[in-house]
Parts: sequence; structure tokens; C-alpha cells
Amino acid sequence: MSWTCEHVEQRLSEYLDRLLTPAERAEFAAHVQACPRCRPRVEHLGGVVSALHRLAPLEPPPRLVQRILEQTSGAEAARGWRRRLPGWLLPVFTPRFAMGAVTVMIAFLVLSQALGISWSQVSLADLHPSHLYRAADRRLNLLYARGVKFVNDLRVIQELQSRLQPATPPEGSEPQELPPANKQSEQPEQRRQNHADEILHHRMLLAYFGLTLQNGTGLPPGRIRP
Amino acid sequence: MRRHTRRIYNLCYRFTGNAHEAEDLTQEVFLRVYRTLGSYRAVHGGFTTWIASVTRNLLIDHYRRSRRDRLTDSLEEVLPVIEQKESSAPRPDQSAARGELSQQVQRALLQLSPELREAVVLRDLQGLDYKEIQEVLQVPEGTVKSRINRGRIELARLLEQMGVRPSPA
Ligand SMILES: [Zn+2]
Repeated sequence: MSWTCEHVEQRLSEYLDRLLTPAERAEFAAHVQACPRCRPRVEHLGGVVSALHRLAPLEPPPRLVQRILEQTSGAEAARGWRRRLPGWLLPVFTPRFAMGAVTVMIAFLVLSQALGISWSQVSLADLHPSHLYRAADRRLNLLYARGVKFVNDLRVIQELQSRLQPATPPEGSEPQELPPANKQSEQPEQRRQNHADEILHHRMLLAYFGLTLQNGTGLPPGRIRP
Repeated sequence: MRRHTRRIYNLCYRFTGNAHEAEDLTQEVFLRVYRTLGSYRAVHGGFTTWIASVTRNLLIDHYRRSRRDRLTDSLEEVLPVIEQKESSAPRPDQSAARGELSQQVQRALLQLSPELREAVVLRDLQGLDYKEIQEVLQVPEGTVKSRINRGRIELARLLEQMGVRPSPA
């Protein structure tokens, strides 16, 4: 059976995304090659789609990160959380710690994905600091041994995460590829953004210490007293 | 954090075409993500997919809300006109060079129906694959395929009308 123009139009995106079987692909190509109506259409659509893929992502304004930090560490955000928290966690979840603790949880989620821990089997009780502490075991200790620098360097987490999704195509269009002229004009904003990230990192640290101290499990590895 | 902020912000901006709304929505997404972090399960697809789902649900809520606010009855035909007005609101800072195509794409996107628009944005601007989009939209695989395809064809037609003919890479 050879394909009609309608067949071709219906399967256009699957062709461009390489989702057709080799046999289908051959049928598709055979029709397009010979059809004066379909050929320019396929070419135009292919051009549009690859232009979309090359489109650089828009940079969110630096104040946005700041706003998110402010709001998520505000009283309103903390109140909703507290009601559902077990008693041992309550003192930790002051507004000041909320943001950082949440970030730590995200970090744990990312880490646990990388380490193959299934969260479907994890209950809230398992998030008790001592459980977390033990469950994270040597690997986290090892990471932690590298000290504050590791926690400060969120790039490690980002890298882990990008390794989890290696096949995502538009990651290539991250802003590192900005031309130099562009970079210069963005430097002050960049600095502000870095500052926001710094605050975030400090909060992560505070939250981490908050959790461990709260439970009496002591200080991070290497500093536990006998 | 910045990476997620950028992803969410782009998704919101491409869907609404409005920088202020995109900012507010991104902030709202973060709040919702933090509140519902407990419901996240790694087995249900990646973290990125999950965040995209949260964002998408919020966008749909927002879309319905703003449609109710602006139209007393369901006059779906009027939507493209209204949304084009929205798109004249301030845009995010961007260099002139890469801005033009980006803005033409934005104008064309806003003329698509929300169903087709979100499919194209998730696939071609957020880089999700078909399976992930199926996860985010909660519709059958065939529907995902057909929405992506119809969305792209419609977008290509609109861009052609605007005289935009990008050459393949
Ligand atoms: Zn044909």
C-alpha cells in the first residue's frame, strides 16, 4: 500500500521525531519525494521544528528567584506545612527554615533517584532525621566529607539530575552558550542571581544542621563526638 | 533551582505570552511544588515531568479563570484576539538578535488553541518526549501524537503567513 497525502500529513511529526518504523519511513519518503504538494510542506515544517528546538530559553528576571525565596520562607507557606507534620519536626519548620529544608528534601529526592532509592516505599516516618541519616549511609557520608563546599555547590545536584534525563534535547541551549557581548550586559543581574543562590545554599546548610541537631544525632560525619 | 525556575518560567511565558503573569505563575508553581512534595513519586516519571504537570495544571486553572473573568459566555472564537492583546504586555529582557524569531513564534503560539499550544510547547520548547507529555497531559498516546502534529502544522502555517520561513539546521 503506498501512502496518500493524508497519510503523510498525519504522520509528519512522527517522521520528524523519528518514530516511524523503517518500513513506514520508506513509504513516507517515497511519497514525499514524488509529491510536489507534500515536499515543500515537509521541508517547511522540518525547518520550523528545528528552529523551535534551537530557540534559546528566555531568562527569568533575577528578582523572580528572590521573590520565590521570600514567599516560600514566609509565614503563610510555613503554616500549611506545620499542620501535617509530626511533632518532632515542628520546631524545625519555622518560616526561616522552611525554604532550606524543602531544598534539602529536593536534594534528597534527586540524590535518592541517583542512588536508586524508591520513594514509593518511604513513609513520613522514614524522613525522621536518624532514618535519613542512616539510610543515606556511606555514600552520603562520603559526599558530606567533602564538606560544606559540596552542599554549597548546587551544580553537583544539577549534574546528577541532568544525568537522570540524558536524552532531553534542548539542554544544549543553556545560557552558557550566550555570545560574550550578551554576557557582559547580564553580569550585574548574574551577580544578583548568584547572591540569591548563596542565600539558598546557606538556608540548606542551616536546615541540614537544624535537622541533625534537633534529633540529637549530632554533627556531620567526622565531627561526631564519642 | 535556577534551572527549574527557568524551565517553569519559560513554560508559563510560552503559554500565557505575558511576562508578569509568567512570573506570578512560576512563583505559584514553586509554592505548590513545596506543598505537595510528599505526593511526588519517582516511579511516576522524572522530577522534571512532575514539575511540568504541576505547572500545566496551574496554567489550565489560570486559563479557565482568566477566560471566565473576561468573557461572560463561552465565546471561544474571540480568544485569539484577546490573547493577542495580552501579548502586547511587557516582554522579558532579551537580546534583539535572538528576540525576533522568538517573538514571532510567541505570536503564532497564542493563536493556537490551548490544547495544541501546550502540546507544542512541551514537545518543542521544553523538550519532553511523547511518553512524558502523555504523563503530563493525562491523555492517550494517540491524542498526544495528533495534538503535537496538528499544533506544529498549524504553527508552521501561521509562521508562513507571517513570512517566517526558517531553514532546516
Ligand atoms: Zn502528497
